[in-house]
Amino acid sequence: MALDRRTTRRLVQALLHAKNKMNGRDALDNVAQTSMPTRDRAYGAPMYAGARFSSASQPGVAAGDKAADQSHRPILALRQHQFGDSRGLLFTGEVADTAKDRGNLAGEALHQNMSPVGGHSSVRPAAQPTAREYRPSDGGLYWSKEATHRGSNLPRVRYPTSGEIWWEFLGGIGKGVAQTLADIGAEETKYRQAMVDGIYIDTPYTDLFDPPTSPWDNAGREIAPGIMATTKPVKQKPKTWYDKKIGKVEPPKHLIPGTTRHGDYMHEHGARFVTDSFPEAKFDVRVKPGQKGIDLTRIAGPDHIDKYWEIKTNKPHSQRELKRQIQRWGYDEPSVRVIAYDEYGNLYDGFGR
Amino acid sequence: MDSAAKLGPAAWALAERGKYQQALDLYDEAKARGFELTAGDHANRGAILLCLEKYEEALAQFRAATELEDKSDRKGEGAYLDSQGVAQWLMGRHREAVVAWRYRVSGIMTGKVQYADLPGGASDGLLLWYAAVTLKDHDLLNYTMDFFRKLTIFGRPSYWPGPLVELALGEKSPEAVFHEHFHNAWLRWLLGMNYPRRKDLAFGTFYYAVKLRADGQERDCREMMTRVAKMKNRFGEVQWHLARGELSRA
Repeated sequence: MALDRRTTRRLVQALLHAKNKMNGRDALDNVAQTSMPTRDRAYGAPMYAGARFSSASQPGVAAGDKAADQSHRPILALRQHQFGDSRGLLFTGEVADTAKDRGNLAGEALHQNMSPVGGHSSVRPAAQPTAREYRPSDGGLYWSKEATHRGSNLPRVRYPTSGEIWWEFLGGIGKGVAQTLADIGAEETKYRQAMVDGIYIDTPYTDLFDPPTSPWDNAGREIAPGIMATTKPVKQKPKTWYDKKIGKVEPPKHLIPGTTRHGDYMHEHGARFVTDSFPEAKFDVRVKPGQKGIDLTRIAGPDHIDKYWEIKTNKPHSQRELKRQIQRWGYDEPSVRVIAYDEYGNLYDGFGR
Repeated sequence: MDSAAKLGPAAWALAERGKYQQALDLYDEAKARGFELTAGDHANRGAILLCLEKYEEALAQFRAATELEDKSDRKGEGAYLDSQGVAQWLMGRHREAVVAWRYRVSGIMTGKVQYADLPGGASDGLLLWYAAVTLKDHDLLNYTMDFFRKLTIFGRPSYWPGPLVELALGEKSPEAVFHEHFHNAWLRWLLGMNYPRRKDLAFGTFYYAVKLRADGQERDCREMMTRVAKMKNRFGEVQWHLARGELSRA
C-alpha cells in the first residue's frame, strides 16, 4: 500500500522520536540526577518534568534536527566515560553548575569537571553542541542565557570509587575496633570516676590481708592527678598531726574556691577524711549543709579520738569565727579538733601555715 | 592525760582483742574510782555487752548514753537509738526496736535530727528496712523506701553506706556496690577465699542478705547471714549481732 507524503512524514517523525527518546532516557538515567532534565516527548530535547516547551520558544530546534542528535552525543560520551574504560576504572563525573556551563546540556556542563580516578586527564567532548534554551522547572537545572543566576543550583555529584568504598569499610572496622578498645579502657576510668561523687577510693589488696595497724587503712590514694578527687594518707599517727598538712582533696574544676558550693564540697570530703581515718569510731555528721552546729561528733569508739571536729577554711577569719562558735555552743576550745583546708584542697590539722 | 582518759582507750583495746570481760572490768574500775562515764563510754560498754550476749544490760547502757546526750546540746538527736534498737531486736522485742529506729528516720526527714552518718542517715534507714523486710510490714517498707528516695536526692548517697540505699531501691546491683567499695574483694570472698572480716564488708553483706530476702530468696539470704555470722567479730558492728540473731532464731 502506498503511503501518501503526509503519512510517511509522520511515520518518520514517530520513528525518530522513538529513537531519540530511547537514547535520551538512557543517557539521562545514567547520570542519575533528580534535577536532571527529562526528555521532552515532542521534541526529543532534554527538559525538566513539568516544564512546558514549545518549538516557538526554542528557535532552531526541531525534531530530527541534526543539532539535537549531536546534543545526544556528549551524553553518550558521558555514559561511556562515566562507567569506566577498558581497565574497568570507575570514573567520577560531576555535573557542573557554574555559569559557564549553561547552554549546553551534554557538553561542557557535564564534561568540564569530569576526571577519572587515577589521575587521568579530563575528557573533553569531541564536538560542542549547539547551545539550547530550556525552560527550567522550579529549582532545577537551567541553561538559559537569560537566567544565569540559576546555574549555582546544580547539585554536585561525586560517585565514590570502589577503592574508596573499600577503604571506608575497612577504616570503619578499624575505627570501630579502636573505639571499642578505647571504650573498654575508658570504661574502668569512667566507672571509677562515676563512683563516690568523683572520688575514687582504691583499697589495696594487702590492706585486706593484714589487720588494721593504723587509722589510714581505709584512706585512698591518688589515681589520676588533676582529674580525680582523692584523699592521700599521711604515714604518721594522729598525734603527730598537729599543725601539719595531712591530706589533699582535689575538687572539681568548676567549683570556685571561696564559693558556697566549694565550701560544701570541702566540708563533705573533709568529713569523709576524718571518718575514713578512724574506722573504729562512729561519727555523727551534720545531715545537711548549712546546718548550725559542730560538723562531726564521735558518739562511739575509743576515747583517744577527739569527740568534736570542725572543718574550716585555713584563713584567719575562720579561726576567729570558730572561737566565737565554740563559745556560743558551750564547748571547750581544746575539745574541738579542726581540719582546715585551703583553696588548693590541702587539708591541715588545725589552722596551719 | 589522766587516769580516766587512759582507762577508756585501754578498755577499747581489750575489747578489740576479744577480751570483753576485762574491758568491762576496766569500766567498772573507772566508775568505782569516781570517774563519770560519758555517753560514749556507756555506748562502748553496751557494745561490749552485746558481744557477751547480755542484751538487757546492753540496752540499759544504751539508754544511759541517750539520757546523757539529751542533757547536752544534742538533745533529741537520739544518737544511740540505733544500738538500743538492736538490743531490743535481739531480745525479740521487734516492735520496740522499730519504734527506736523509726524515731531516727522520721527525725532526719523532719529535720529534728540533724546529725547522722555521712550519707545523711543511710545507716538508720537500712536498719528500718531490715525490720520492714523481716516483719513483712508493707507500710513500714513503703515508708522506708520513701526515705531512701529522699536520701538519694537530698543526701549524699555516694558515700558509704549510701550505695546500699541504692541497692535497696534496686538502682544498683550488689556486684556494682561491692565492686565500688571493695575493689572486687567481694568477688574473692564469694569464691571462698579467706581473709579477715572488715567492718564495711560485714555491713554490706548483711544488707545484701536483706535484699535477697526482699526479693524472696530466703535460702540465699540465710547463706549470706551465715557468712556474716562466721566473720570474725569486729567490735562495734551491730550487723554482726543481728546476723547471729537470725541464725539463732532459725
